[in-house]
Amino acid sequence: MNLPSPGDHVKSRRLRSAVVLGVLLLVLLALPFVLPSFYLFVATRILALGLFATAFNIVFGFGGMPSLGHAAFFGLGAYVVGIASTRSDLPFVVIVVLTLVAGTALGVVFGLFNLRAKGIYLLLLTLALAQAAYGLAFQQVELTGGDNGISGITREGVPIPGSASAFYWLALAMVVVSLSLMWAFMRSPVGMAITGLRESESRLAATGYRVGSYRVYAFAVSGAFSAVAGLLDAYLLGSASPSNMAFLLSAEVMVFAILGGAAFFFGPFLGAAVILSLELYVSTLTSRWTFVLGIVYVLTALFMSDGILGRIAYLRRRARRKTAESPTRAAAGETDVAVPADTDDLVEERHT
Amino acid sequence: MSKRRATRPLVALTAATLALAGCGSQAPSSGGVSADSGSGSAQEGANGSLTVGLLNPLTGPFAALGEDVNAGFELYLDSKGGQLSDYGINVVKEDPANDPGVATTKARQLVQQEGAGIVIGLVNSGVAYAVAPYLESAGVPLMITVAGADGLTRTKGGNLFRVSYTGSQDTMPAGDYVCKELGLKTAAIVGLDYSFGWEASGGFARTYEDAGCKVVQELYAPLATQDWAPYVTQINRDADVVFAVTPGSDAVRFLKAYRGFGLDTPIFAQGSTTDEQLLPTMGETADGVMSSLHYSPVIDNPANKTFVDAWTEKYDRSTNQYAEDGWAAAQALEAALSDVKGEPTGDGITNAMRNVSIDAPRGALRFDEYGQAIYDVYMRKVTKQDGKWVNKVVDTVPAVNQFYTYDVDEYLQFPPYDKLKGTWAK
Amino acid sequence: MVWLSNVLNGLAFGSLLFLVASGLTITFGLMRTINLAHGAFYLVGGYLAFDLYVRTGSYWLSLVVAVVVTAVIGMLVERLLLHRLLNQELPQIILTVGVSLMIGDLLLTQYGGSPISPPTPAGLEGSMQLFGSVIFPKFRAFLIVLALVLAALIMAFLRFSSIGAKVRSAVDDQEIARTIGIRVPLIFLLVFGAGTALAAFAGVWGGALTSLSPDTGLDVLLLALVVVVVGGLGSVPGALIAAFAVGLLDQFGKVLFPEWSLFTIYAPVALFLAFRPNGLLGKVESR
Repeated sequence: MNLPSPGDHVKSRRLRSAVVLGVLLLVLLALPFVLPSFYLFVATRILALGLFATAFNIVFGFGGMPSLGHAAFFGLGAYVVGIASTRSDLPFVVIVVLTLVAGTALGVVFGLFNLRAKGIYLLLLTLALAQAAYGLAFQQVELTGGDNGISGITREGVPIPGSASAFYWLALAMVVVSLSLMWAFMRSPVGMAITGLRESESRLAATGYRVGSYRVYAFAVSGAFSAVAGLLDAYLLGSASPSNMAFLLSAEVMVFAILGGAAFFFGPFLGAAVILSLELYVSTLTSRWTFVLGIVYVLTALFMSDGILGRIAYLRRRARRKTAESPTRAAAGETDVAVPADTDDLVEERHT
Repeated sequence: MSKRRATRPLVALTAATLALAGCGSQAPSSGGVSADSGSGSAQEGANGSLTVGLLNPLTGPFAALGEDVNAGFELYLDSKGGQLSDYGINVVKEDPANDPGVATTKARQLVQQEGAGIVIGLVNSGVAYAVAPYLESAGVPLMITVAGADGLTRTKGGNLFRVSYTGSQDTMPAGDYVCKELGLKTAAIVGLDYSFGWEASGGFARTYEDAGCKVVQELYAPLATQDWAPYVTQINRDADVVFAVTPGSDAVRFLKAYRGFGLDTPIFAQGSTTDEQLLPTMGETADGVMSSLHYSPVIDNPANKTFVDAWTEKYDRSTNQYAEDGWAAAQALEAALSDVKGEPTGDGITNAMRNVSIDAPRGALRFDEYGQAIYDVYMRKVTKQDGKWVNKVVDTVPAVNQFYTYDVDEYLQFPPYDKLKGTWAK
Repeated sequence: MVWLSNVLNGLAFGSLLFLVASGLTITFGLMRTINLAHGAFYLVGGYLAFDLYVRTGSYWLSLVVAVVVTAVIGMLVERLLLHRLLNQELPQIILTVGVSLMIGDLLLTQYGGSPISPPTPAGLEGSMQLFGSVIFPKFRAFLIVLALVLAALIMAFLRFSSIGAKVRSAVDDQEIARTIGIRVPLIFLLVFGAGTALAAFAGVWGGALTSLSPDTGLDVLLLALVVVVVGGLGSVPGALIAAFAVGLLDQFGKVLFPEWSLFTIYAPVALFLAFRPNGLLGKVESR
């Protein structure tokens, strides 16, 4: 028998993941050369909302805290851009820093409010916070432009402001950097502890962790990157408005995460890409697109609650189990957990 | 879980989808979105063809408005056999979904993918503000049919035109009228707490006070206020008149609460408060409410008769300002195209639009140098006629522009209405 | 006397909120099911009553048929879709949001987007005078009575019938519930049916007060959720107190701080929940 040793297995998986990511990145870099300008616009929007979904998932999929108020962070980022770029000459880098600071600060507020709430209560507490933020955006006209929002956001201060392609590349770079930072964060001790929140909060508390502070960390990091996503969206659209803070966006980002696979790092991004593409496609075909969207939500809940990546992982596991029908492997028992799916290196699968 | 069980939800969903398809085909107001809906696909006229992008809400809170604008536009187009001034018109409808992000995407789709040479529509002003800069940069004319923010038409020589009102345009004549003609000397203002509410209220308050009367109170309620009792009970009962800016379903709730709490001060409203879409639901509660608007279905002129006849043949409800906005937009486009020689380019249409002068159902309509429509404004009163509630025309103020009788430069120096809200009563 | 008028208004609006919240809180309390389609069922009830009233002119027939038909639709949703997601909070949320999107769109295609108003029963039109100077609509006064009666009925039913206990055991341990002869699926079906029936009932009454359009479902749902959560999920008396509290908060917030009216409901609620994460009378969830 010349089965590969576990170490080799991990190495080859790492290598394969790196190759897959590298190829993906090359494809994404090349998109402006092949896509018509409209689809490049859509692709940029997917980058922004994909980043939003990934940031959301730090709290949701990893921290196990179902926030229904994340639009507040996204909208905050958009408003920071709107206000800073139309009323000041601040350079782009400063605006990005401001956005990060604002997102972090709001994240801390969310975290402090949610020190104790769980499950459905947390869901509604975050919803109430987001609605309050929405109320402020809508009514504090002096600052936010009220229902008209802030329009005419230009990309003058943005590095290489010129073409749509340049902005796409900038967005791509920022998204890649943000994802890498979040990835590293989730691998750090703090990130591991946040995942521990989901697994068993009481056990975490019993081992001496100060559970509350990790909730605040999770919201702060998630809030900061959600705000960056809002920043990208505002620059792309050229406007910021209360819709960026609306309840439906908070619900939608949860669907992104679930449909893609909330247990996986890249799941929410995938979900955002799928839903946004689908929305665009269906709304071009029929004015009854909200009905179709409803069907997608229902089917997601019924058949895809562990997401597209969860499905793929499951199917692969099953396929592998079939190929390994030899008695020795069978004796090793159900190895679902011990030998995680191939995608695992991109992932962080939930062990339930 | 057995296979049989797993298929059950699918069956249910399929059934629901079929039911939906059935409903869709029955509903008079439902609009297909695809390019070949409405009036004949890929028309080629003697002069060429033009793709028109209709960007009106088909879902969400403004769906009823968007459907009627589209229906009005297509009705006119159909009455002309799908051609305007010998240009074949291809209509493509997209849904801005009441969201600036979606709307910006859809505007780009209309221009970059569908090749729209003009975009017509928009209800929500926030959405209009978000979309307009893109169309400007793309050199594609935009004709707004509902969105009312004053600030949208403040640039000279742009590519933007608006057949519908600015927030303050239809209420400025009302201030004069209520003070001088009706002799009601003190007013309490009840408006919705967003820019349209402030602009419409402010327009009224400006001319009302300049005419020598006094605004004694201002109350603003959030959009979609479910319970109007807190506001209605605060109204100053010593005022001679209540001026209301409560469009949409808020109007229904406002009037119901107003009557329920036994207030009997006469109401004068911005015309959208007593829109024909709402009158059947408001019924008795709207009786006697006066309002100002640039349209009423009972206007007596040949163009309106043509419009109302064509509309009532197809739909079993009254025309309204939104349907008329769509119809008038088609008329304006037709007039512009008759001036365009050859290929209808963005610049060609924009330049031709500036000189458009038509007899719309509302009466004479042309654009000022900012692209804003100039039209007659009607003073109306809700009355029962042949068993139906209508906005009976009691007076007409001719050729009202967005600055009313004020000097343009002086008017543009005024602080914006969102800064003035709350200051009128002081 | 202005304060009296304000208090009564707050209570009347609170009563409407309780009507909406009652169905939501029993569905959650008994089944641990979060039904975000509750606002959609509210609309279905109101629209059906409106439609039937236009056709038949009979108020009570319209009310009863609308409530029953909506309950049947609700039970179909439970049996065909929701039942498969027992105890799975997040998929339940997505599913019910999906259902409400579908229902909202069906209503839009069928009835258009303009607001409609379900009928008001004869005798409740017009106003009455209280203590001389205060004029108050009869319909609103009746709503307060209706909410109190409904709350008493639901509480009595849960207390004195065995269904409450049965359902709880069914949720906690289905195996055991089955072995002692409780038909779990049937019980869930009935509870959900009752929840949607209450939503429809609220839609007919609330719709008559506020009018309905396909997008109002969300406005109502959000306020009802606030009430349910503040009251403590599953607690009927909690929901009643919370409904009155939110109604009064809304009323006085709009009178005293009109500039902040959208903020005045949600910010205090968030603050309250931060300190009492299980609401007023909610039980601590063991997870």
